[in-house]
Amino acid sequence: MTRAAKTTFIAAAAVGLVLGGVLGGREAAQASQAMQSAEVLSASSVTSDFARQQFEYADTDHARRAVQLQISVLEKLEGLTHDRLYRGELGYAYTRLGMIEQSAGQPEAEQRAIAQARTWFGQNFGHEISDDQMRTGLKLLDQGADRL
Amino acid sequence: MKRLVPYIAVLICAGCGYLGYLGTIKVVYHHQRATWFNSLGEPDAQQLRETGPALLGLGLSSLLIQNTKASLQHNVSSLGEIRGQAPRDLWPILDLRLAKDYAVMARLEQASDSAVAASHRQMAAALLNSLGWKDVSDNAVAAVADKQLAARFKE
Repeated sequence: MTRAAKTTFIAAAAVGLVLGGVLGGREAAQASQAMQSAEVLSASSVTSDFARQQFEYADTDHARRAVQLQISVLEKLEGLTHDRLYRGELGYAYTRLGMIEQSAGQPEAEQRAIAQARTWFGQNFGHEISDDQMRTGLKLLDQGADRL
Repeated sequence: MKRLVPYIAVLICAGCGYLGYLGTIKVVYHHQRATWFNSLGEPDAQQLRETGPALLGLGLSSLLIQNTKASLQHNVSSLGEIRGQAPRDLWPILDLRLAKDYAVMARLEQASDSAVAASHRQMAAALLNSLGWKDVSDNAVAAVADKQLAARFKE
């Protein structure tokens, strides 16, 4: 093999690697963004759905743990995106926690949860909503989810 | 040989381009994934990065219509794999989905193989019991299966 041929092959390999690297880098950045969005969306919907079902069918202890898991995920997502959607979901999650504490006979924990719900709804709607509105809203959401 | 040099160079360029493309995707994606959610601070970001794939896998498996024994069996094994890699606090979510799949399998096998159906019904009941469900009777498990099947046919 001549020196010129060797040089040509090395240059061809370098050009290929650089072009492939640039294309791959762009593709990876797009894939990373898409996957991150998909994981954020599913984290909120899967934990919410689980909390709703445990609230309906499980004992208070397990229902409490499910809604606490949902709250922990939602608080992280809210901190990440500052999206109003998550503030509303947090309001309903704390309302559910309040209802669980009520049925567990824990009035202080119930009041703490309802106060948190009021705070999140206040940040979401810009005004306070009553306890009845919170509970009715949650029931309507659950009925809607149940029909899906 | 001299006439072949440009063709070989093109082949080398394409081959190296493909390898560079694949390698960069893998390296850049893993690097970027390791920095996801970093604005939250390390413990919270790490926790979200760990829970994300399991919840996405579960979310995607819920989108698929699984109403045959084979598809349910396949789903059960893929859920088992997801559970094996998921953080412990997500196990109950995966267990609920597994319980529903076993309940539907029991329903579908009822006519053809009552012994297998009973075994799947028991597995569903045991999982629901571990999740604190107040009613894990045969009727309750059958109701779970019916609800799942109705939802899937609606899809």
